[in-house]
Amino acid sequence: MSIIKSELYKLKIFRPFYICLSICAAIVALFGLSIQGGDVEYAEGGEGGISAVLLIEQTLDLPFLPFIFAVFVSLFVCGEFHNGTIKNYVSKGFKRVGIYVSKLAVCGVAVLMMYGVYVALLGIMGTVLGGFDPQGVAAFSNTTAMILGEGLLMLAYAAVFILVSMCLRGVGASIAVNLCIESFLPIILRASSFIIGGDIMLENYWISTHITALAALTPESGAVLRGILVGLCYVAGGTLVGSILFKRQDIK
Amino acid sequence: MKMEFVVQTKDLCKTFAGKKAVNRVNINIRRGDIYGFIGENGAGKTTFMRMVCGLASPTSGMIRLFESADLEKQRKRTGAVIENPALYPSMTAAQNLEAYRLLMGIPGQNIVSELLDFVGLGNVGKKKTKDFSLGMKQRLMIAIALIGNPEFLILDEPMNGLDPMGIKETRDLLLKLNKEKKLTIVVSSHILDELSRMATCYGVIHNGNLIAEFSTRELENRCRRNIKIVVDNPDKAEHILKTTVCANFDVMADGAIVLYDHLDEAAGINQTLVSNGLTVSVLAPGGQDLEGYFMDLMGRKN
Repeated sequence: MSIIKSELYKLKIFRPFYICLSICAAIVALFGLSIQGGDVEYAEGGEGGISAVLLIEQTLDLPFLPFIFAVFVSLFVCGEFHNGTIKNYVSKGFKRVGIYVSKLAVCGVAVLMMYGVYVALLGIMGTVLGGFDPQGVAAFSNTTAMILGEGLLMLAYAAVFILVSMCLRGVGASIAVNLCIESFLPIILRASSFIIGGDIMLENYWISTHITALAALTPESGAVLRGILVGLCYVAGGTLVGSILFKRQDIK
Repeated sequence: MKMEFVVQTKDLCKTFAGKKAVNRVNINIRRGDIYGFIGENGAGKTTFMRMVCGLASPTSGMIRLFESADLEKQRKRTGAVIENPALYPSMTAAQNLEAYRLLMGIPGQNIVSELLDFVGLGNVGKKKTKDFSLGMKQRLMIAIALIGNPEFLILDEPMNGLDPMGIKETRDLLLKLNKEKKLTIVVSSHILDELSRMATCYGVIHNGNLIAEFSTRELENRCRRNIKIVVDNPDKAEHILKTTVCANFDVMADGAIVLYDHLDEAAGINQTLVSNGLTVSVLAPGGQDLEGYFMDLMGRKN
């Protein structure tokens, strides 16, 4: 626990964390301005209506949150290697697995806070602009499943980005690779599926596919369960692989 | 039974891409020692220290800390500064220390201000560590290493880049820690003169091999001013020096006699030996400082 306390303390005074939070808030504000300016149509709301739940549903699968996470995680994790401070942890006798898990836990907290701020501000802004759910399209259980499921998938992204950052250790390289993963991996997986042929659709195993599938007030049958399973697999698998790799590597 | 050794290694090796950076190093560092670790750049000092600290895993061999093989547990009793000062640049000194206080699970924040005062950084206020001088960074790193009351400090070139005042302050601090807190310290440095002012024993590493280990007393004996005498009959010369000159001397394994006093009477001693039928082939002044001794060792190895 002491290692997590220390990580949380560092997060508390980590300026890029507040910058990322501000960017999340700024994006919501931009949505608000666009809606008010009439640049964005919300026909699905019916009768030209906009509401909090519809706004959340239609913006959760946009890719900018993972982009922000990729940059934040790279800065937070690789900063330890860049400054050399990771040496202080190891030389104080902390287990490598413990160090890795603490990074995952605190990055997870940070990512969920950014996601929480984003969703909460969307909800507040949507409610102010058009009410929470005036059309009555959202069931409580579906809305909750959507928000929590998406949160788990955001954690899955964080787990992948931490794995990359712990392996690469360089801030620039880590940001670049993490952004490339977010941008190009779905395309690469789709192209690979075509090459392999058959019924296997590799992109169905990637996080973004499930983020899109879950961003619905009436998700397809099984989509929530599949999303949760994929999220858990990435978090558990990323942690396992990352901690094994970190344990084997020398620290410079 | 009281624990005597803080670090013990047996046939410790580390190989990088087929090259042995550390080769079968056997070291025993006693409690209370200030162990000066000497070697050229790339000799293997830092690699050895990194293995002791857990930053690099040995290719083969064994490390024991505090006479225990449970290294992760025992490393909680150590503090280390390996290579450059590793600090969070956008935090203040107090914030850096606070992060490690929480890490070590130490209750109460008094320790932070106490340690800052101890290393002479009590008045830095809200200045961020990125604006610190190298000397201030080194001192803060020592404070971080001291968090959790370690019994053993590993310092890799803590004098690097310091001005003469910084070097003196660091030396005084290490001596104070050794004396007041009974800390065992391993310190590597290229500034051999500085090292000789605080170390109680030394290890010399060359191309990954530990080529010499000696105490300060042994170093003093090896380095003090002397006259080296080589004669055809060392036993007879020994007898003459004892009875006639009453000299303080040692007879080396190769038969050479090293005379530590009567240094201004070389001509008279030569005459005495010759008049007693001995052939004197060498009679030369000797004596080195640590640097001279180190250079001599390196010269022999090269």
